[in-house]
Amino acid sequence: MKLEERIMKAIANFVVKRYKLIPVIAVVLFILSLLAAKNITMKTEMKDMLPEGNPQIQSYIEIYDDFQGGAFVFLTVEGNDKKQMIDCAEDLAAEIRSREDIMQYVKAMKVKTDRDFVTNWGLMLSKAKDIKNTKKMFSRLNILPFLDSLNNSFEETYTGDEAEEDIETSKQENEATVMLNQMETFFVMLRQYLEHPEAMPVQEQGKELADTFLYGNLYNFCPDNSMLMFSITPNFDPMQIKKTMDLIGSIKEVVAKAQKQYPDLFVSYTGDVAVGADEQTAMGFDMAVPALVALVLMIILFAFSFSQLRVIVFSLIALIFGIVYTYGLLGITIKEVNLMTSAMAVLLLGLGIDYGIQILTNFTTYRKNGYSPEDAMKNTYIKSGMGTFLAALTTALGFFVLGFTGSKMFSQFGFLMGMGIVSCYISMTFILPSLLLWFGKKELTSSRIPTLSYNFITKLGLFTNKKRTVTLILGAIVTLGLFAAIFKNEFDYDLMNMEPQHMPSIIQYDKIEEKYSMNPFTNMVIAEDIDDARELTRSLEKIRMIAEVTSLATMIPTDKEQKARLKEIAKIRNMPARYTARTYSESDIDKFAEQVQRVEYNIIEMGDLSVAGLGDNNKITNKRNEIIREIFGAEVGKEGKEVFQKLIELVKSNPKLYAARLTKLDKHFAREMNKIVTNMSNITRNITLADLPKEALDSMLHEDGKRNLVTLYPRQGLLKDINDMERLNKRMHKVSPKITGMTPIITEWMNELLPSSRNAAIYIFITVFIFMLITFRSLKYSILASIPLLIGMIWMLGIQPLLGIKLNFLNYAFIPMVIGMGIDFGIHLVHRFITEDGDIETTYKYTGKAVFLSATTTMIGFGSLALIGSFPSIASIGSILFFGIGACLLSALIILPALLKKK
Amino acid sequence: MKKVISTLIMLSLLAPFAQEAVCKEKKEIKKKDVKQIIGKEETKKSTGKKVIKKAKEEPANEAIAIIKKMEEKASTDASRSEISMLTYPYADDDEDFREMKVIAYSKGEDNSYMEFVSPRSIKGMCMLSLDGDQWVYFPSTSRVRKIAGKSKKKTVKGVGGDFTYEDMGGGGDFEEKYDLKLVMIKEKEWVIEGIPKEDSSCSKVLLYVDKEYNMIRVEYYTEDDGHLKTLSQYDIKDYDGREMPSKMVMENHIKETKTVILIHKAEYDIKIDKKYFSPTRFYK
Repeated sequence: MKLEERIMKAIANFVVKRYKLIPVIAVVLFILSLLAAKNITMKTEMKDMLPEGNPQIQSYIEIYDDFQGGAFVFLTVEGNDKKQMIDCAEDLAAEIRSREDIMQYVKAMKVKTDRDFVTNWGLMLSKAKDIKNTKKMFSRLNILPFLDSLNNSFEETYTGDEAEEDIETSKQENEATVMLNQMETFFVMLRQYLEHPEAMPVQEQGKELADTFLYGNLYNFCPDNSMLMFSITPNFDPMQIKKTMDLIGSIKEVVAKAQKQYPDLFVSYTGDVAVGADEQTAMGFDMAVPALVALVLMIILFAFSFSQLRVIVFSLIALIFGIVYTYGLLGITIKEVNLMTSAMAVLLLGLGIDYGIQILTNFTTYRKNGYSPEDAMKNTYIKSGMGTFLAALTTALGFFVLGFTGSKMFSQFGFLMGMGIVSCYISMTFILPSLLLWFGKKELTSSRIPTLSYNFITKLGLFTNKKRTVTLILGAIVTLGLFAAIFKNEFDYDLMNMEPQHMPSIIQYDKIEEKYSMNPFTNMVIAEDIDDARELTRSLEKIRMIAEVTSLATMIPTDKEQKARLKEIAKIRNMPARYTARTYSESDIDKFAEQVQRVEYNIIEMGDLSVAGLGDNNKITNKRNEIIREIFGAEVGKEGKEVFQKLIELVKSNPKLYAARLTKLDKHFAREMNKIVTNMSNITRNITLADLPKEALDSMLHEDGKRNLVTLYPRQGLLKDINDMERLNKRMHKVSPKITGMTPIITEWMNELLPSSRNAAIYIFITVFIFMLITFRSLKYSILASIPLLIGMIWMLGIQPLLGIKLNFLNYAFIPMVIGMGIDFGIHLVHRFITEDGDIETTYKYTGKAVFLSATTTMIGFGSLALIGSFPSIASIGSILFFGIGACLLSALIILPALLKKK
Repeated sequence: MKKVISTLIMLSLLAPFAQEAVCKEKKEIKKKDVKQIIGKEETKKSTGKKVIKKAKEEPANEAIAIIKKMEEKASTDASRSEISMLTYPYADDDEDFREMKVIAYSKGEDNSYMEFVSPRSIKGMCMLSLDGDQWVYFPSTSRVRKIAGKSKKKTVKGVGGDFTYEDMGGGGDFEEKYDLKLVMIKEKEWVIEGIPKEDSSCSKVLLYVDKEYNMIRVEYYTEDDGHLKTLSQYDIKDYDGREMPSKMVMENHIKETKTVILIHKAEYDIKIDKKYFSPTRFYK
């Protein structure tokens, strides 16, 4: 008798003799495991799967600790009426401030730029050269000379003969766009007044016009003014799931209330904190519903496959025990689960049940063939025990070798899955047979549910074994075709495509990207002091892939700069009278129209010149095209708002009337402008941190009063492509290796995941193959056992592009799993083939059926994930595993019999 | 704007290539000297002795002769070319660049006219450089800007470029601008040092000329930055019977930026309609 047979016989005898003791021991272990499992903590962030020594991870942790991760919630209001949108934003903010359940989690909220701050320090934040230009404008505040000065300033800065400014950076692009927005509002308001002077008292019109010009949009409108956005900085680490859920839950209520109040607007939310909360909700669904659906389907399958319903219950009990043991071991070893290992329970459900199926199939078949329960169990162990053991061991070994990939996430995953496989195998080998012997019916009775015989598996095996040449030729053709299709596989690098697209936070994320041309997921770095922040900010602003940098340093110029600026501000302060009482004549209206036309020309040429540094379709050309007729070089495109032409047409239609109206407006506009300019130029000292708005200090300055957070937003679409992300990382790394956040961490994670996944696949296969060589002691049988897997892998990867399914970082990471699971089919069948001395019929009658049921249950599990999972990422994992297992099964049932030959 | 215009000027001068900017008369005067010096070099090569050496005898004359020969090879009275300019904000990142395409006409040493073909938004924008003055025409507004007296030392970032006006040879030939000296003779190339005669953005240039009299590389040095920039010329192609580099790369080692110029098509010694070189054309 062979050694393996003797071992299996010994186990069988032990189980048959001690079948009442084993469940008792199992229950004790079960309780102990439950207690140990309490030690496990859940870590759901990508950073938790990266090496702790990584400087970006260290920076991230530091920022979490000191600044709550620089995370935000963005509230958005969409509509066409700017005033209504502002009212809605203010109401939202007031409601939030009034709610203790929200404010307990709020560190800072920035609804708009502080008007007083702009009045006091606005000029100080402009370059000395710009203040000098501004001074010229402020010297003539009556509308007509003011427009002339405005054009002069424009030409000096951008389009004129001596212009110094080239628009190359995102900062310049943003500033120019803001200026165009300001111009649009100013000239639209001017036209509205001239057209309908009765709509508002002229004093108010003058004030509003002056305010618009000097303060611009204090609210954060997108360039086309169709969206207003404001931010909330939470006071907690967004890893704290409960607080995140509480905060977003309350914000949803506030948003719903505002939506009801403003039915013409669309109110919503996004930001990394909001996406995190929405993900949790979706994750809850994905973890529960597909698993439940799979469980029901499996029970139905079992009911039609095994005559005794109770055996299904026994196998599920044994499986649950195995999984709980795994969590018990986890509780005393690693003590944590991450995003990848959290899927372990579902995977173990699919894998662990397979060992039970082997036992159940053999046991019930022997019983049907007239064997007593004890003899049926002994036969089960002797005939299929070693195959099951080998399959479990190879799978477990495959997972354990993941520890050698050098990846933290794969090491943990491999270790846990390896332990899980061992636990489930032991549980199925000892607990399930004990339950079958103890509580199973002594006599076989016919089931009320018709039982499937699975004879087709045996027939199929016999057929392809007989028609081996045809089978192999057809198999080779299909395999070659699918092999060629492998190269058509596309990789989806956009992580946002892996998020459930229906989530409100994801819908708004996309809108913000589109409307503000920036990605709302931030990167950040801690500056040691303001000087450090200034240096970092300047360097980061030069990176074209960054849309915006927010930093306290932008509000604190150097002493030297401040000195130069104060000098220029003093000149404005000490100016003689800045305006006179002026009466406009009809000829002045011609001059007025000329100046308006000049503004339009300057804006058009500014757009032309911006193309050189920023390319086509930049924010400036887009904004320009929106307010004028779209220009394409010599061609003319679609109509815009025609802001300037409509004003010119209006004043020219009745010069006398509009000269009179302009005279009235001019008086109030010039006076109001003068008042604001006087206030703005009253600055006589340097700006310090203490002068900055509270919400800026709250969100960016550390308690020590020195360290501060520099936050940067990547350009629109940057997270869609790994290459773009890597290029940004490279640039950011040159500025400071400590810059961390979404882009570096995702990239780091992806960079670790892809080679680790590939290495894992190679390691698993090599280990399993070596193990097969040792156990089979035959190269031929080892190769034969590997063939269903190899062919299955080719089919799986070839089917993906044919069905239009893309690979992504998550489903790619799960490909090694297919090796761990798919190899089992070949091992089971080849081992049984050897045990049965080359009897194909017996091999496929017993083990073929078991393999089919194992694969089908696994496919049901993964298929339900693929079809019901709300996370495209989870669905894609389910999909690739479904096709992988399905392909390996087909190959094992069709191709393998054609290769098996009796000696 | 200043930078934009400088780049436009530079692009327009690219049409006949940097080496071409040379007066015909000068070439004829020096032809004899060139032959003598080059003959000496070939004899040295035929003896099979070590070819990489420091030039000792009459390095200035040797250098001038080589440069003249190189310039002679590239000279033209008038040319038309189709050019792409690719500006890379990061020299080590070949994926991030902006491209502009222009059609350029040149006449004589300083006069050029060019028209943008792409990007679409600025298609039709024109630039005329005539006797030191420049005009830009915006088709989108039909306005013309006259630009005068731009510094030749200015770097032309913006529309893109690490070139300065003087890098492109605008305003004079090498002998006129530099004191030249042959400093090294390598197996396949000569290395000529040029020290600017007048105030310049660089303190020294090293010109690498291959034995086919093609300029293959120019290194620019400054007192402050040392090796500031390198202009490399690649892919010699036949354009209208002339062998010329089809790709020029100017890399700024301090800013870590680069600008690539691709010549798609070039015609030489052609007849160009006078209208291209008349500023009144813009004022119609």
